[in-house]
Amino acid sequence: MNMLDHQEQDPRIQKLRNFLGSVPVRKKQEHELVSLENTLFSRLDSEQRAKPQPNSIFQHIIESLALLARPVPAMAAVAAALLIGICGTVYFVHYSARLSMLAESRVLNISGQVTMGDVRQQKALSPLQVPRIRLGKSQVYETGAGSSVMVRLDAGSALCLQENTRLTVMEADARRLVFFLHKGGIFATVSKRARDQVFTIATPNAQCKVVGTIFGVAVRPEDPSGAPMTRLCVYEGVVQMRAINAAGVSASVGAGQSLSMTGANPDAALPVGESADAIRAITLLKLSLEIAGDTSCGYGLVDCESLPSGAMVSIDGQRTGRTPLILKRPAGRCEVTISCEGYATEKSLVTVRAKQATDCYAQLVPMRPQDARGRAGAWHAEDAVHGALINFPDYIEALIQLTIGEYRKALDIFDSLNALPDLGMHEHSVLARKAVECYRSLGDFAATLAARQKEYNAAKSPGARGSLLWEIATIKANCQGDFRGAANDLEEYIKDYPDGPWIHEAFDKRAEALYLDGRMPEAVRVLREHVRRFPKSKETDQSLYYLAEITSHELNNCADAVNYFARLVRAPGGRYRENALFGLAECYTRLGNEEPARKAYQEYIRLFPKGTWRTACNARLAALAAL
Amino acid sequence: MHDEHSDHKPVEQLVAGCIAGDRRCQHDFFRAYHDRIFGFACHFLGPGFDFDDVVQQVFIRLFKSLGSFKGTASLDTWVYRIASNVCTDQLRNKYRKRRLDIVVDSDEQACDAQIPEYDNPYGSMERKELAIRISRALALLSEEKRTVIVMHEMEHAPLEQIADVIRKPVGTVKSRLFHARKELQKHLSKYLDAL
Repeated sequence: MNMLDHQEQDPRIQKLRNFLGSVPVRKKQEHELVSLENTLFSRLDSEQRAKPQPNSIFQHIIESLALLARPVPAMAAVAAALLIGICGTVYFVHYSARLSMLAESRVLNISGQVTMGDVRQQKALSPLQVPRIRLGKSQVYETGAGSSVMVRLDAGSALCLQENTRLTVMEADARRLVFFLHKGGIFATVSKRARDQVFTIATPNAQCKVVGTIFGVAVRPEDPSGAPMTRLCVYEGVVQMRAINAAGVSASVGAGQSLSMTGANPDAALPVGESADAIRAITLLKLSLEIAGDTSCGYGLVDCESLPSGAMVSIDGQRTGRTPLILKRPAGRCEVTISCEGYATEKSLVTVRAKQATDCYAQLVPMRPQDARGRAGAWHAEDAVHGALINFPDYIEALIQLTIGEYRKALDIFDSLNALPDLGMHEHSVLARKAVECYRSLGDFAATLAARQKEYNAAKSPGARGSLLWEIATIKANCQGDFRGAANDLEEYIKDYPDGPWIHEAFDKRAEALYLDGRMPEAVRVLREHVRRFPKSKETDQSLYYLAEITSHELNNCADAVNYFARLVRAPGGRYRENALFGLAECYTRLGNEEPARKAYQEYIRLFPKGTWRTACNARLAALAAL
Repeated sequence: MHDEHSDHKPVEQLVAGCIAGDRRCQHDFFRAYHDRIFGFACHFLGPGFDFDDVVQQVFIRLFKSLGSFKGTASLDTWVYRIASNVCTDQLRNKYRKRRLDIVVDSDEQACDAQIPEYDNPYGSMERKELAIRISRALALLSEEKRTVIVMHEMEHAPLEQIADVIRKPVGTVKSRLFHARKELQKHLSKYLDAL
């Protein structure tokens, strides 16, 4: 036994080894890994781009001079001179572009009152100037109350100046980028800097040196004690904060931490509080950088906010999310609708400008009966829909109650109107429909069904009867779980409306209802009938797939299932092809037909190398090979 | 220890793809080695470093020098060797610049950043305390001994692989491990007795 083995027998060493082995390391979450990966690749790219390639230019010059030194034709001399000129220009442009870290900078967006200029004189910025402004040394930016400005520094970095902020660009060359924050607050996202590159935000009492991170700095020129106060919040990465007046007093502030420094005295670091403003500003910064880097130039941002928040945002009729919401949209006009239950819906036409953010704010007004009355004009305009009922004040009142979600009150009024003696068929039908709307909203499906059944019995038009029958069957199946009743209604629909608009759905739904009712052979018969009656319809592939699945799994009839699966496999581009191919292979395996099964599994792996069943196919092939 | 990476791409193919600048291969390489490099850096450097930055520097150096990977040692060994070199450079830079002016209790902060949350707050505090003590004790070891003990006891690398990484005989590795354990035992003796 050597010394090491002997040492490992010592209980104290064993304890020590246990301690060392149990020191945990926080596992990065997926989004953190993605962010790190993106930063790494952007660093790799920037290092790749920064590789000096002077040799090629100098070689061109030397070769051109060598050509000129020899007796060469005049044309060659001119070409060489041109070449020297072009190389010189390219080199000059390239070199001058690298002179400043702000060569690719520009103002992305302004909101409210923003001024720009030098220390002596500043001018108000207009949105039209925005795309042309490039940041430079000694520039001063100032925002007024309720204003903000967003500035892109380079491909991965941007600043967002909050309201009442004054910021000066102190230094801006290839190695140093220094800003001075006189007052107010900024949010910044900064891509990883090279070791020799300095990115600093200075304030009257502190310096925040950035490595590559997302953070916010706020300055209060004088706190109650008379000293300036700087607050640094770091959301990602690490920022080093140093007091200006006392050399050597500094602190590294990590992600999720905030540090305040009053005068030269840092307070204890605290966790960064959850701030909706901060989250919004950072999201806006990130998206702005994304669209600013988009060479197609065709996108802008729509920044939707509402009071109260959480309202549904629809753009051009399509639901996109809930407020607060920042959306990337193609440049152009769009209609933004912000709606919230119990509040009046706000609609506005928004012009999305390329590479800029457009605000869309709605202060939603609670919907009250008197507000809803404003809609009466619209209801009057639809008198063909409402018929003579539109002349009844009670009917208008019921519509108002329905709009504001008072379904019981609306229902009572509709019932009382239904009892009036002079109403025609159309009016009764309108009242029945409105009552059904109330029942559905209240979740009373039995009453909905009863009303629909009554309507179906009274209806004479075949189209209306067919639609009502379909609706009754779906309510029974989906809302009440009455599969037997639904199957009967659907059977009636299939018989009476063989070319009805819901015929394919009726076959599938009836089979589903029978299946759920445990009547497998009948379900199979219905599906077979559907496939037989519509052999060339695209709608029947679902029935064929259900047929194959029920036949193989429920009826254990693999011989028939093989035919159905094979039909699905033969259909090129079919939506069930992948599953059908695997199902076919499985049926062959169950039937003991090893060779066709092997071929089918191999075919699956060939056609769907990343398919859902690839692992199962490999396992089955291995099992078949072992036989 | 064997070479692991997603989709089980052969090492040669992965390396060739990374050298050619294939993003997919670089992605696979990053995902395969990130956790191990991050863990090694956290344990080796201790608090006071931007581990994400260190890990990125390791990957940048790896991608730049993949062309020189001849396949004589395993890819794992080669990755650890580069990670160890980068971390050693970091330590030396820190000493050179004498960054001893950090006033915030960065030990605890950094440990917070690297230790996962536990359900039991008391358990979490004990673990945090233990992690801080261990990292302080590790910081007192020489770089050579620290490399060996971190790789063997915390990263569970076999002695032969460590010998390949530091390019020394296995006997030297054993000797360093022996002495590193002794030193740690001395530094942590009070703590070991208390628990």
